[in-house]
Amino acid sequence: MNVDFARKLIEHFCWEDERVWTLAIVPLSDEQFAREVGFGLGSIQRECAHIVDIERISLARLRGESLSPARMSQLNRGAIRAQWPEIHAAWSEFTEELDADLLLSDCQFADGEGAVALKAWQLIFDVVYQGTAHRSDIMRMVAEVHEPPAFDLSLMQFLSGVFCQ
Amino acid sequence: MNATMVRSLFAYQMQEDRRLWDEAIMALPEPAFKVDTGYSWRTLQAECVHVVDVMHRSLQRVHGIKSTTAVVTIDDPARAQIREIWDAVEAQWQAYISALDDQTFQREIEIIYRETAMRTPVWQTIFHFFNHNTLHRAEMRQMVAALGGAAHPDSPFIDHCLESSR
Repeated sequence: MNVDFARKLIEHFCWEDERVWTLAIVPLSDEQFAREVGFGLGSIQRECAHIVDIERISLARLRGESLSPARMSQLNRGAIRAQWPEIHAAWSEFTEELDADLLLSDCQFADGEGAVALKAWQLIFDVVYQGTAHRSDIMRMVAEVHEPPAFDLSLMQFLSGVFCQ
Repeated sequence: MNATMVRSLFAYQMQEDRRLWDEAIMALPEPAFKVDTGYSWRTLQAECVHVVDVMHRSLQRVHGIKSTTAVVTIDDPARAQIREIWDAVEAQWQAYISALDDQTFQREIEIIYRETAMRTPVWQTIFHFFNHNTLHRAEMRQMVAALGGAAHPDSPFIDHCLESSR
């Protein structure tokens, strides 16, 4: 089985996180970053912290690591900025280990209803889709508290290298 | 990747698309569908037309059609008309995904993306369609919320997987 698609999807969400942070979030004041906006998770801060959580927890599950289930929804801007590159680097290491056997392997973990098992590819796609939805919310929030970001989100842009501002 | 995985991902996308249509978009008063919300495609009408258009063009691409065409050709389409077109495109995708095999998934096709011709594996177009719908469901929920409607987030994909396995 060719697993290039999974590597590309992981590279894409790491790249898109960084692009949203650099181009859309860096220009914001701390007040704008934390402002309540009334939709999604309520603020850019909580959206970013939630994506960090999903990426961190899912990677731990993929690696079979025991991890404190504590969520980090209260992470401040500096902590998010500090942790995100480390998490992306860890995902990058994971893509180097990724092969067909790993993609189809079972990952066992505990959720609210006890022990469950999912395939590795299912956990990866969960990160892909949750990240996409939450980055979409962040883009709208940035438009609300500041101005619409001057770029759009697109998997095909990343895969093709063709961008359209 | 194998075709079984793609079928699971497609089933999830269709489940979430239908939830959005049934629970959020169709629950709004009809006039709200054309209200300018001031963001992205501005109205739910335009956003829905855009999304179903990309679904349709993506389907044409995986069938080897380079010069894709618009699927909504009605001026000022009503909500029910767009839903009808959406359901038809979804059914065509369902037929394609049902017949998909592992070799087709990796096959290269010629496409034109943003006026640029390129060769890409079929999986890129399929996953672009999935990701694009996910992105725009979030935007449409933002619009529904701005219009005073109920806008529940997508169910996580792992919840869909766990439900499917029970």
